[in-house]
Amino acid sequence: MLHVTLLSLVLGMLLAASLRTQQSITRDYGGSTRVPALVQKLRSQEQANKELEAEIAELRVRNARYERKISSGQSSSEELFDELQNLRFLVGQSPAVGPGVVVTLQDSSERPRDNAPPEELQLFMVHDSDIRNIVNELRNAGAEVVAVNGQRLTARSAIRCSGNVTMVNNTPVAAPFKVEAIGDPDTLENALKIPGGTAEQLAVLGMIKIDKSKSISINGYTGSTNFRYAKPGKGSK
Amino acid sequence: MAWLPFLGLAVGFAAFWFAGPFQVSSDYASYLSLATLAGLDSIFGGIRAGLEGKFHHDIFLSGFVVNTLLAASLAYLGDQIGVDLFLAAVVALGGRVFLNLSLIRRYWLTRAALSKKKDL
Repeated sequence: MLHVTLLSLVLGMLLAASLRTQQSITRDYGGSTRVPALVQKLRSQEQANKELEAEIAELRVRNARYERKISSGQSSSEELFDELQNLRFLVGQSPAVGPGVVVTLQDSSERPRDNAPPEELQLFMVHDSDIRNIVNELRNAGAEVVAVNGQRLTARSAIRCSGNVTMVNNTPVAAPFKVEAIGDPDTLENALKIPGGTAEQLAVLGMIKIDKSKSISINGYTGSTNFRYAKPGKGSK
Repeated sequence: MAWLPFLGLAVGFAAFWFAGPFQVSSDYASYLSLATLAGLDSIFGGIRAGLEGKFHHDIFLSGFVVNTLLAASLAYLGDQIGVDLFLAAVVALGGRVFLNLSLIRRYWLTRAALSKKKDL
């Protein structure tokens, strides 16, 4: 009987630890710990995201219509409306068209030599830093509107890889990476092609393609525009 | 004296429940659950053996320890080689728990019926 009691004691401990663990898991992951259930959850969240994005787009259109209506009602506010549209364009919320370049980045199709060290293998792949460098170079050359795989870059955009997924505006994008930039096509192309520049090392392994274009159209930024911490300050400084 | 195991269960549970955050990382949670299930199986197996009059301390004790560790490590091995041994262990242990429970119920019913007959 002593043995049974002793082992019951241990079983009680096991039960308690198990329950505690499951509780903390349920708290952290919100529900089941089984992978299929989590996948299901992710899917439905992605679906909800998509729907919400469509809603945002629709609301923006409606908003623009209201604004137009207001401005047509009072001629004095027409100026304000124009100003608003201008600012909206400036922060990247409305679509843009114009000449520019399209830069396509892709992992090299060449194979590294056998038993090459890992650092060498890295050279054959496109990294988030490559995209950032290209974007930086383009902006320096006067690109006015830039998008990566359709993600409009705004003042708050980031290009970063998390794990093996590249995220732009917190949205996963996949290779081949298409960097579209509106600006003077020749200036942009020359800026990328300067000797020793970012494009040169990528071109060695055939990872970059630069196309000039007469007309590029880039969509507006559709993500959240909420500021949680920053508030408008006083003064014009 | 039959209540002693239950007291042990309650004390052990309370000790880990209230004394602190004894929890493992979520990576190992399933192994802990499995160990708990193996423990449950051993306890019910012990009760059944006791009712059948075949209870041996050494078998019971070693069974509890070995089954608990074996269940968890087999599931771990399964995860390493990509076979879901976790499920196999759950089915095997769960099946035995239900079997033992039904046998225990049957013994108690028979015993109750016998004592009733004696009274008559």
